[in-house]
Amino acid sequence: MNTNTALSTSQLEEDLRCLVAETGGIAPAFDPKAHFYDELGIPSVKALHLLYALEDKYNVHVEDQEFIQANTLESLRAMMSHLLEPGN
Amino acid sequence: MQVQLALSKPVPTGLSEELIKKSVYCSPHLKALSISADGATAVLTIDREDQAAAVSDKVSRFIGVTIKGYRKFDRKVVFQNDIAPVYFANAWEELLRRNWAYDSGFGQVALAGTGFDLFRYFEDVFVRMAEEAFRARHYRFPTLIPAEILGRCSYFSSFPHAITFATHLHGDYDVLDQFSTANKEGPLTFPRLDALEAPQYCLTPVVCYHCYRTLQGQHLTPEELRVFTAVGSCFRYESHNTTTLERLWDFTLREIVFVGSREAVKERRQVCMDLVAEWLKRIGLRVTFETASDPFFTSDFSERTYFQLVSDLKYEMRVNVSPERTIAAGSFNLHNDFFGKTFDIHSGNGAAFSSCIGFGVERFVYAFVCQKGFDPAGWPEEVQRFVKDPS
Repeated sequence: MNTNTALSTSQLEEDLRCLVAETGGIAPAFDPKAHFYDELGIPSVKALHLLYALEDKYNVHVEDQEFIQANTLESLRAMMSHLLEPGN
Repeated sequence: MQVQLALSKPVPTGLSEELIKKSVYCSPHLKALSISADGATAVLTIDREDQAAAVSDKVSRFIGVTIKGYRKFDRKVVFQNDIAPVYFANAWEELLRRNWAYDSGFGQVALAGTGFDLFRYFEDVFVRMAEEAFRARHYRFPTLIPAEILGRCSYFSSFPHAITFATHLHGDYDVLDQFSTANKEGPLTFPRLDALEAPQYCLTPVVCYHCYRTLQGQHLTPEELRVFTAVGSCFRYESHNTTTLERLWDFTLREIVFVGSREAVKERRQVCMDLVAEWLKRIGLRVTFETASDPFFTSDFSERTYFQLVSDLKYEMRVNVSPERTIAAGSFNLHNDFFGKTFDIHSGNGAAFSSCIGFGVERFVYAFVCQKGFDPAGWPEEVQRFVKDPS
């Protein structure tokens, strides 16, 4: 069970935007529908760093297959939103 | 002598085999490495006592860098031909005894007679698949490849252990005269350490890089798919891991290569997997297709391996050579848009995507005799048709 208090959708998306930009080495003003690795140019080797950063920041376990399919900010926000729901 | 090395962080489960395989590149003085079941201790066999500290330091750093950030991710099996062959235990010795294969030097093997007939059978299967299923265009590429191309493809940073450089003597009268005089008889001698040019070329480790190079700077329409097939001698230095027909320095690689849109290259890879699975079931080889990663020798091993495995970018065809052991006789690979970006190849409005299927022909020959034995009368009829020389 995670220990996070509920975050608003927009707050979560902004937090994730910062995390993705910082971990991936890109500017934070990016299209939320753009593919991290194919379109935003985040090196694929950064994927594992992003995964660990998510798990550390939110104190959750992220399933690998779900993580790799959450390859846009929108899909990442949806996945994390679900993970952070009370009871998960 | 043996040295026990207490590791600062234990080796994660499932990574010991990979570390042991790659440890041959740590030091020529390291003769063997084993890792305790709990991953906490490495045992090094070292051939010189005065090298113990230096070798231990190298192994310690090598293990530390390789396991850093490692995330265990189980390999996925997507196909298995679950049959129980009667294995031939000493297949390599039997190949040599029958003169179906000859040891031609370190990591080099010659095939002859029925050994070569088997090679022709497998090549025929791969060529027909490329032609009939994919209408591939045939290419014949050089054995040399410019170092600049390998550099662009990140080969030097990803696989430094496997590179084979090609070079030559300086075009200088004195250098050539001294070399010729020093080599009038006996083993190869270099009278001057600076006699060789810095290498600008390598012996090619893969076929597909040549394919992408032919498309440099081209724009494909969104529907356009380029399909290549080529076979070539490829070279990957394997150090002490070199053995029999299963791990050669100089081996034959047949590739089928697709360049186009993301959907098209991925779909063709799946079609190829289905065709290969159907064929292997038909001839009755025990095989498993499973996710895999390339043998990266880099400080970001964990990151690269993780992304490749979790994204299903690579599937290996692992063919049994004994009940317990398999070898990767081929692979089905997706590269996303790496080569599209590297060679400035476009598909529609973006970088082109690519996939390639690689077949290691000698490994198929070896796995086949391990599972089917040496009497052609017991082989599938489609294989028997290729046997011209039953000696």
